Amino acid sequence: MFTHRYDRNQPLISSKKQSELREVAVAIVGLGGLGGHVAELCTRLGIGRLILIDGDAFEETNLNRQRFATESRIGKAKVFSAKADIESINSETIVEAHQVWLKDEADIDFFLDADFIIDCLDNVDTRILLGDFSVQLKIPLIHGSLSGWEGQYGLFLPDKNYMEQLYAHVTKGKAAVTANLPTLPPIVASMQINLLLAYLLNDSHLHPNTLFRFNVQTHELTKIGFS
Amino acid sequence: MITVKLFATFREGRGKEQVFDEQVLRTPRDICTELNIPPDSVGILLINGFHAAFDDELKDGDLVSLFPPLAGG
Repeated sequence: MFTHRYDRNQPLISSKKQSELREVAVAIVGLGGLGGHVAELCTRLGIGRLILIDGDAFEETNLNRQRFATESRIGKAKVFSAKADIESINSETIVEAHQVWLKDEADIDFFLDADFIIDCLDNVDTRILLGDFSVQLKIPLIHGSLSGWEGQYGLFLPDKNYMEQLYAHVTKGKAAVTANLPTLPPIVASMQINLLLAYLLNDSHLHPNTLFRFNVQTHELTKIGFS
Repeated sequence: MITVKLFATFREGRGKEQVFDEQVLRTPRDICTELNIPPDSVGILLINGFHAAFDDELKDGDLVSLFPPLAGG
């Protein structure tokens, strides 16, 4: 019906590659600041199947930055709002919405059909759990995080739990509430999906197992290798 | 001498960079104490670009980088 939907993805994404993207399943964990934008970008890129996981409902403080937050949705589940908007962008995208908080190893079942895990969380403990799932299922983990003027992102291969290394020194638990501007989440989300695309296109410029850390105030970008 | 590069909120009241004598401050833990940065508030600790531990011994010419953690989404 919408045969020109992906015309502007070409020629960077060939017709053959575009049709392959329909077969890709991405699990997005966290549908807040990062996850909302990540879900939209995956949809517009042409990823065929999205597995959305978040136990949270919208609240007023989300209105400054979260992609699917609206006044009328306050109190409603983030994953179902995301699913509705994604399906309005592309009715052919298969969306599984799970309103759950990931707790332990048994939750790996949500990821059995996923080809990638995208970390859009706001706490360290669940990130380490995602690192475990990535290794067990042998699928890459694309991390993103932010606070204040800074953001970071990286694609990590499933050879070890890189989240344990990334947060090795940090006291576990939910991140302290800090400034979370409208401008940071779209940047980090976009870079996460650029990494996904680079991986899917076998782009030689992809630097896996590297954390890119940037500051939008000072315009610094630091590459931190992991091994 | 050791150069310590600070990032994000660690710069508040401390500047971007400080230089210390490795004979006086022998480990990243000593540096954190000197700079009043609790080790559990450090997200990433690098020595010469490689991940390091707080009790690693420092030598002349080392570059120590300290990043606060980012965990928000």
